[in-house]
Amino acid sequence: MRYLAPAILCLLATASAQAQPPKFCPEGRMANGTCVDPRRAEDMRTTSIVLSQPKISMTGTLVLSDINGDYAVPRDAFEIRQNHRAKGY
Amino acid sequence: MARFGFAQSSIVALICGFMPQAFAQEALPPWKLTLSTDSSYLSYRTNRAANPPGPGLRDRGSQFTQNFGVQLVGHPAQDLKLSLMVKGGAISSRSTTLTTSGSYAGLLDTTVSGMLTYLGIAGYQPFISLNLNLPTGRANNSNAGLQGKGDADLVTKPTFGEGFNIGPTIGVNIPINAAWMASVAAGYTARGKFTREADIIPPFMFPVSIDPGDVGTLTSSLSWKGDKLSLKASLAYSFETDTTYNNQPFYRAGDRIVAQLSGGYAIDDNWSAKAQASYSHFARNKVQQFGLPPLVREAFNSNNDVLKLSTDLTYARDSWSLGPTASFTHRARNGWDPNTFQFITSRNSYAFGLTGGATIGEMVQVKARIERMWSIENATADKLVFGFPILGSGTATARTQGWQASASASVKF
Repeated sequence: MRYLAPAILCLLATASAQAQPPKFCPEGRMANGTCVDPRRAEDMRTTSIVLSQPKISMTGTLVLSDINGDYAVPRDAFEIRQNHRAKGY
Repeated sequence: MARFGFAQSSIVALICGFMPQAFAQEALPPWKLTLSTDSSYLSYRTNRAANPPGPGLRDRGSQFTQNFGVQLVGHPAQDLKLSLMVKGGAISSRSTTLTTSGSYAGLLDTTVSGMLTYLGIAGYQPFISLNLNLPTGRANNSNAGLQGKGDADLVTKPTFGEGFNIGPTIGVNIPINAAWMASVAAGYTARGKFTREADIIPPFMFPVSIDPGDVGTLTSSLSWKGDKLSLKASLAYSFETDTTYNNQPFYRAGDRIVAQLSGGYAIDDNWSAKAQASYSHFARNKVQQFGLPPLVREAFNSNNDVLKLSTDLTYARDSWSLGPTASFTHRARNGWDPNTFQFITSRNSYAFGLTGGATIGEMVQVKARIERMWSIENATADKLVFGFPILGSGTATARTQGWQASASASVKF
């Protein structure tokens, strides 16, 4: 009988821990506590960073080559013509 | 006895007290290291009818680029995600026109990117990013290197290097619910000075110092995901400071808007499609008047709006995928009168091809792409000086055909 109270508490605590959302979410949680879709979160963050740095590099990109095409930003033709004496305009 | 019972109960309660923690404390996933490399080759030939009529002109060019990248992603703590990337490459570029010919072979600039995301706030995931362009390429080329630059509308690398650029970004992802997610960010790119080729060809080769304008950008994106369809819309607004030429104000690019819309659709277990549209518009620039500072707002817009549409259809099965790809790019004419020397005509480019990929084991992924491309640049009229046409100063329609192929491989550890 003397073990009953702590045992019940133990059971409740364990059940409570299992009922909680997962403690670790690789891309964080939504306001309701569920995990954020990791691929979407990564995609949205990458989109924001790439679009916020449209002229960080004329020859490189901020993503690995296999996904370059998904995050391409149109170049500034006027700048290429004026600053780099490029052809084609 | 009662004291002993209390102690036993306390021990049981203590153990139980740690059990929820034991359930909650999941081990952090291991760090992921990705090595990536890609090769791409592009070759084109442009035929331009002569103006006035006569033997036509023929330009041709090619570029081979080889890139390498390393990315490390992991969680240094429960609520932090860190991503680091370094990417560089080398190029061999050739270009030949009726009167000039040249080539460049060497390194390109190196990009370095670091990103830290805080995951401890439910409903908001703020992030900061620091991005660098290291000037490992070459901005000041010999005359041969200058002539080796290809048609900027066609080639992947219209130039081979610039200065040291630093670009911090701060933003936040906002997962609204399972279907909707938003992201907003602000970035600033402080761009370093570099030296490039002279405006006058030899023997008067005095290199020019260019200090490109810094760029501030605000961006927002919204995405929606259903069972089979996903959509994403993005908008970016940029503004710049003056660009200087040998330390004198040269021009200031007009404010810019970039709008992008992309979508993907899973047709069934094997077939899927995706499409992307992007549009770029600049307001009028500030430029020198009669070739001298100070800068004034130009009378007409020197910039060309650019619209790009692209689509892929993919059949995927087991560990491989294959499908057709198509794209269309419209460079609109700029705002100047066709009879002025500032006029730049419109150009339409089309590309059709095949793209595919395969996963080998759990670590290696390879992708390949081959495309045939066509481009048509509209004619421009002869220019007028004090109302008199300068015979031959206009250009005839130019038609370009070419091939581009690329292959990439990445290994994840």
